[in-house]
Amino acid sequence: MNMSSMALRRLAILSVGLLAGAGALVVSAQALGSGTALPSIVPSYQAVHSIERLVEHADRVVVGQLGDVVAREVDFGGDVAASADAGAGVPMAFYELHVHETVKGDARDTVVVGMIDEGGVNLPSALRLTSGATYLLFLRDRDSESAPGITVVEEFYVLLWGPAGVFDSGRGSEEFVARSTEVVAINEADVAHELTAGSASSGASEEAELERLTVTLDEVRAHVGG
Amino acid sequence: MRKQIAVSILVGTLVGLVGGALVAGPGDAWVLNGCKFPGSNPQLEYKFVSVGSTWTDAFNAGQQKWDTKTPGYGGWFTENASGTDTEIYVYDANYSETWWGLAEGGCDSGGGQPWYNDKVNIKFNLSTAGSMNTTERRLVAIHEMGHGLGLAHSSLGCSDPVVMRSDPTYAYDNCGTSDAPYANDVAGVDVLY
Repeated sequence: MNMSSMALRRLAILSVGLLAGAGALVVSAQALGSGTALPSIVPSYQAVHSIERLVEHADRVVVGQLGDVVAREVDFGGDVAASADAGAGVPMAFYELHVHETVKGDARDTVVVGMIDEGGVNLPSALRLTSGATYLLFLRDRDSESAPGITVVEEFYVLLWGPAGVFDSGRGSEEFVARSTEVVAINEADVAHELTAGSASSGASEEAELERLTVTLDEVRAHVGG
Repeated sequence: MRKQIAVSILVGTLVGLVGGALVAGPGDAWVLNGCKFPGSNPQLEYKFVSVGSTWTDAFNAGQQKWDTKTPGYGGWFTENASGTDTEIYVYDANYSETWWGLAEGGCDSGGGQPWYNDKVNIKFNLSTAGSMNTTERRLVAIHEMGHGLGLAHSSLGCSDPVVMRSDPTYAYDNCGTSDAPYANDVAGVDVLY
């Protein structure tokens, strides 16, 4: 994917026309509720417990600043028959990501990242990203073949296994903190020990449960191409 | 007595996660998502909307497991292939994200409000199903049905398995057991219904 600024502009223009349609479908999804509250979407992902495993399965690992939404579309997964039923869709928002550093994968300045659109639904807090914030992201690439329900962008990325693929900025530009408490170790060999320790303390204290792994970019780089 | 215990547990721990306040049991044994179907033993009709055999098989196996593991309720789930007024709508497709399954519904959260319109959508992802075996797909189905019943994600380890972990196959992968739903999941349902 070579997302030039012209292509992005074209994408933005296209998105204006599609926003109305997507919005209508999101409203349909809200019909689950009576209009006083938004519906909740709770996705379940494969768990991953180490940086090593994340690097292994990610097509691209980047540090970048999340930009604005450039397009929205309800993902029906390529199921044409189901697309007549608004309940079948999952509202998606596509964000520009301004890449500061590529740790793994092709180096490009700007890419598009698709996520469940929190504009019309309640999402778990671990899946909410903020425009303007900088993240370390583990991404999987998507195109028309792997994402047949998406037509507003030709190529984009999604988060690898949801919150497991998101790391928030920590102290300094080289340090990041895991969103998911399931990511417990840098190396896969240490996972069993860390999970046992976590299991022993689980429920004993809320603080132990909320502890999140902190990594440096060097620790991530060490697993790239290794 | 059971109700007294349940009430004391309910007021015990409040955790803000999805859409407002969630209610958690001791040690995160179970977490309620704030919504439920009305009544103490609702008979839930489900409809497969454009779903292939991969996930209908998983869902059917899963609903039988829920019924078996909660014998005091006399069954939860019945397929209604033609009806339009069912409680659970089931979909599958090649969704672009990497989730296995998701549950979707709306209500005013806060410890067991009815789902609006008594409806929940459960969606399964064909694009990630290829990497899962039959047992794992059944666990995912059981997990999503747990959301439908009113359970949220929990985070216990192997010593105390729950199918309501964010990764429903965790116990199967790491603990060698796949007989979900487990006692902690059932305990959460007991609080709700």
